[in-house]
Amino acid sequence: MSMLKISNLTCGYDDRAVINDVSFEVNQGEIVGIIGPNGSGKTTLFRTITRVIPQYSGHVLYRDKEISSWHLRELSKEIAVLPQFIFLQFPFSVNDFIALGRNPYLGRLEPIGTEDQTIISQAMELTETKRLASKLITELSGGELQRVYLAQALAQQPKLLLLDEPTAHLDIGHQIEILHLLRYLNKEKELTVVIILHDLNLAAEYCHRLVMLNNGRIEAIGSPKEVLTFPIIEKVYKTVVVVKENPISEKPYVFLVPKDKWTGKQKGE
Amino acid sequence: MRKYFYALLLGLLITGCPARKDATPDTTGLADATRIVYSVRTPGRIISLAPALTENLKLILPLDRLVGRTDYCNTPAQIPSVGNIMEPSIERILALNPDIILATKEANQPAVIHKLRELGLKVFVFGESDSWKMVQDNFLLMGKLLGEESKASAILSNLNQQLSKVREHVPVGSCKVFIQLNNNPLMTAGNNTFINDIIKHTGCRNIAEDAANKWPVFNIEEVIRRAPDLIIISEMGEMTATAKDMWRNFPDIPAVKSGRIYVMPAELMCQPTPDNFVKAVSQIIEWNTK
Amino acid sequence: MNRGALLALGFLIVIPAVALLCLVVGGTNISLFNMSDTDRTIIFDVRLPRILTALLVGAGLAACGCVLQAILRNPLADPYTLGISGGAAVGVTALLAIGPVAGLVNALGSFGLPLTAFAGALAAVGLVFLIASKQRFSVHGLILSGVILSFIFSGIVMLIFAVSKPTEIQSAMFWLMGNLANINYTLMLIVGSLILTGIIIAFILAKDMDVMTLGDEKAVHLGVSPQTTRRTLFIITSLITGACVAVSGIIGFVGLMIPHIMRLIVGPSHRMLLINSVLAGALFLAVTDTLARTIMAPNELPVGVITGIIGGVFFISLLMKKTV
Repeated sequence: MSMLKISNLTCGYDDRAVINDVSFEVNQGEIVGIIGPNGSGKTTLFRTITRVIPQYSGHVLYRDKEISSWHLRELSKEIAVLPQFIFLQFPFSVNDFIALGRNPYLGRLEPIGTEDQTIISQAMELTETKRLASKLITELSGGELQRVYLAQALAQQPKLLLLDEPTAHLDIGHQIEILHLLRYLNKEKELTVVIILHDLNLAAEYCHRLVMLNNGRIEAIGSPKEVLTFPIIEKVYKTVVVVKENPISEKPYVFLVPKDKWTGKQKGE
Repeated sequence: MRKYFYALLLGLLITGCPARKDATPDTTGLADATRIVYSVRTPGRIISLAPALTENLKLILPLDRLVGRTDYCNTPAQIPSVGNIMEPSIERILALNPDIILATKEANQPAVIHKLRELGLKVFVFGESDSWKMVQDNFLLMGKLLGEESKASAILSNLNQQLSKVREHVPVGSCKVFIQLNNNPLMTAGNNTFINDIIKHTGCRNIAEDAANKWPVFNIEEVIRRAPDLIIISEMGEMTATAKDMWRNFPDIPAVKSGRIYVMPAELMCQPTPDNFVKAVSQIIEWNTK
Repeated sequence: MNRGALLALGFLIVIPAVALLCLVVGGTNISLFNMSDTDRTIIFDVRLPRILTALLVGAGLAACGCVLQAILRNPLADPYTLGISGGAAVGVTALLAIGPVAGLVNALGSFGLPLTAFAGALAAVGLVFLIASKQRFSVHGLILSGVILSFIFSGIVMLIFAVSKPTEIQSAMFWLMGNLANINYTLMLIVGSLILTGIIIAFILAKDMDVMTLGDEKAVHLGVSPQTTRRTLFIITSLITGACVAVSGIIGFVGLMIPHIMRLIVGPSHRMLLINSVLAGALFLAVTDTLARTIMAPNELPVGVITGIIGGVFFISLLMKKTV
């Protein structure tokens, strides 16, 4: 079943298009990775999908219905987002913060019910944030914060989870943890995931399919093996790499090549 | 904006309306007047920088020698105005080429007076007129200054005769008066004011006499508690009717019960001239005897 | 029961007790068992409406501060940030100083001042609304238009002062500093219903406010439209503040300080925060107003002075201990 269908989407800021004529589809049960260099439009794409900024032309369909025709509240019961920045102005307790994820399900005057509390608990267990429950979100470290954000998103009981560079400020250990959790949720809870990653190897490891963006357009779509080839990477990232197979997982693995080892031809002589 | 107002409030709380304390030593003694009189002789061109002074002047002289006044002075329109009381136009004052400028310690700013003196102009500053005695002293001073001492004296003795006559009719018994100068806030006159002395001379007592400052803003509770027999409202234009109506909410106050709420023209109470003093006293005694 | 609920309960018990105390305390203290007729007049016609209004206005201002701090994502916002006080000030100053249209004022009597204040406030709100909607009700747009209009209104008020008589200026300034001296029951009922309605609506939107503090982007993700919410709450706070200012002038600090302090005690969750702010604000203003009419009796101090001083001192001591 098609979860997300992007057709000929053009969008951007202040009448300037950042994403140009982009089309791809995400099916249920997939983990799709969006990769590309800085400024290629990944976050902009996300913002349009989640209705934070308007689209100029094209279509964004969620479950075969135009995203603009979904009621905002209904949509937030389906799609959860982990953006790069969340304002941490006010010192909510971790528990209260995660509980805000239940907002789409609760009437304005409805208090948190037992069922909601159960769901919040589950979200905390999955993300191993239970022991942080009574701390304030302003007191957390980067890794803890990411997991709390994720718990809040999971409390929304989404069918589609969009993550914008969730591993950006995490060490290797935490990176693996989060992605492992996503894989678990994808397999066991049927969660469809679209994730923006800057680390190509993580993307190769954990994503079923990859969408490579370059300058607001799609450079390549396909399985990691199809997309992560050295010609494509070198063209898009303008650097020299060597792609081999990860002996443990048999997924493609991208090796960096430092500039002083480049051949003359690679340097463009 | 708020900061500005809080700062100004401090000043107002200390001094009330519209007086401003002057830190410089008193320069308004008789010596000052004599000095000026000897140097100017009879001043031909006079500018008044306060309505109270203009009123006093009108009692002594015909207005042909008044060549300048403030916006708020009550004179024929052809006498040019030099601006408002706080910041009169120095230029216009200079242009009118006065022989003498009359100012008051209470209403006019020292900075303005100093500036005028620096420019070589003669400025005479009158002190407060907070009592019948002070009003008369200042009036005589003005008479001396304008070369009409005997006339001023005569006017005063006439007014004193009127005053004694009117005071013969002071009824027996106590009488408490509340003077309302403003509606919002409820402002009245305290001790050491022109108004307070007027009341004293009517045989009545000003219920705000014991207040801490000259122009206290009263809590209406106090007025209820002190139960005035007479309420006198200083005329405030369109707001007077509102002020009068407000008292109807408190029918237990003796003055309200007996319907003795009167409106007095603002000048009588707020512009200290000997004439106004006597007029005000007679009016109040008349109201009291009704 | 959580901390917020406990505190709210505490307030609900303390407030009637304190209100009773305020009734008997004043220039002279009244004993409840030995009331003369004068005492009765003072208590029922002077003090009671005043204390009730103080409770309502304190509640209203605190609620507005709380709401604005949420939707502007700024813990230092207060009810006057968006220019309402400036508009009201222009209205009142013009009435007191320029000289009112005679017929109008006579007809309105003691409602003249509150009405012009409210009209001025609404005019300011309208202007801010217009400018802010061009900016699609962004936080930036709202704050900027509010601040700019405040400056313009200040200028107009100064201009009016420059051409006014000292007595007129003093009248206007006393009003501007905030005071609850001219209250009657009718005014209190009108204003009170506006304030209470506004507070109830704000409470209904308390969850939305929580979400708004996470940022506009996250708000959308959680099903809350930031523009709509900000616009609605802007109108609500404007009406509440307009009502407060109409009846009591510009009383500062309550709207800024009370929600801020309450947040430190009960946390930023707006259901409990709003309730406690409302109750704390009511209590605070009732007490400070009683002080304003008592400490310099028979003189009447503008209550804005007391809230400023007490509030300022309290706030400073808080800053010395905790990071806010």
